Amino acid sequence: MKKAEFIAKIKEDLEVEDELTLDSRLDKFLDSLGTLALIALIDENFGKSIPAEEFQKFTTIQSLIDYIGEEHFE
Amino acid sequence: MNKIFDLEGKNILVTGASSGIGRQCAITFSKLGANVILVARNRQRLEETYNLLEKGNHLLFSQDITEYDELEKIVESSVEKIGRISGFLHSAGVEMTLPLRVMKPSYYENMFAVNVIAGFELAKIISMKKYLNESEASFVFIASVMGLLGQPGKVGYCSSKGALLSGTKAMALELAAKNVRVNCVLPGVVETPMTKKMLEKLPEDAMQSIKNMHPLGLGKPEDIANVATFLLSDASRWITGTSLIVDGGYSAG
Repeated sequence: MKKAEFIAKIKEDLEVEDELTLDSRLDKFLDSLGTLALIALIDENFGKSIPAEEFQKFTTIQSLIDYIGEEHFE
Repeated sequence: MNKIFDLEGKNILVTGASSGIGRQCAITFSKLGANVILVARNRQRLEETYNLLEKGNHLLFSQDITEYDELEKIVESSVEKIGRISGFLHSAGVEMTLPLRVMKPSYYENMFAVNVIAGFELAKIISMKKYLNESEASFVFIASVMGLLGQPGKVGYCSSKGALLSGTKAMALELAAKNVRVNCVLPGVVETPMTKKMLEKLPEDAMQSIKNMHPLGLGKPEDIANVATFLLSDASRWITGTSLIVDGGYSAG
């Protein structure tokens, strides 16, 4: 999928009201349930499993894309 | 008098026997004289449980219990080898914490398949005349206080455990004529691999808050095994269709 689609999916699934960009900080819009939802979203769409205890190392949406791998995005 | 609390000579089938509460229950039952039929998916962990049991006529079956067509073979084979079954403990269970917004039907289906349907299917099979101990039997379902209480992110898990509470009552009434008692145990948070995984997903303060909500601290698998033993023993002869809360005081608040 395109990066813009990934961002749109996060915004929709997690019901984030603010506009999101690649530089948006995760800690500004994620609570504990939101984190689990995002982990499930990434697992389902990219087959990448992130243990919840490792999630703190991710800072921005771009950092997630770096982990997933640019090659997964159009 | 002390004999009524033991399980001498009883053949008891335990699901979820590869870890956590199921494993400890199997061990405790064996120490009190039961022959234990261990059922779980993971063969290696099942064998580890088997090696921890006290001597007895124990069996093990590596089986995904949601493959419902395979379940009767396990019961039939067990009865052929060690005799009819007088106890059943359903401890297999899966947990999922996800906001409602991203839940899917398949997630509910999977949780209900393991937590509820597989348990009821095994109860159905074991309660057949040809497999059931002639004088009496006792079935115990490991539910959860989450079957009574709610928690965000746990619509699927809470409802699956709640299903065990009500199913237990109906089953108890239906099977009373066959001298089968049916009860539920409702643990609070017990230190097992499943809850460790669940707690690790939470931020530190949320995790601590859950621990603080248990006045007696988090539980140990032995705490649940001891209660399950009581319900499977002759000491609970007059108890059926009920749910025993074992949660260190969590739900009292």
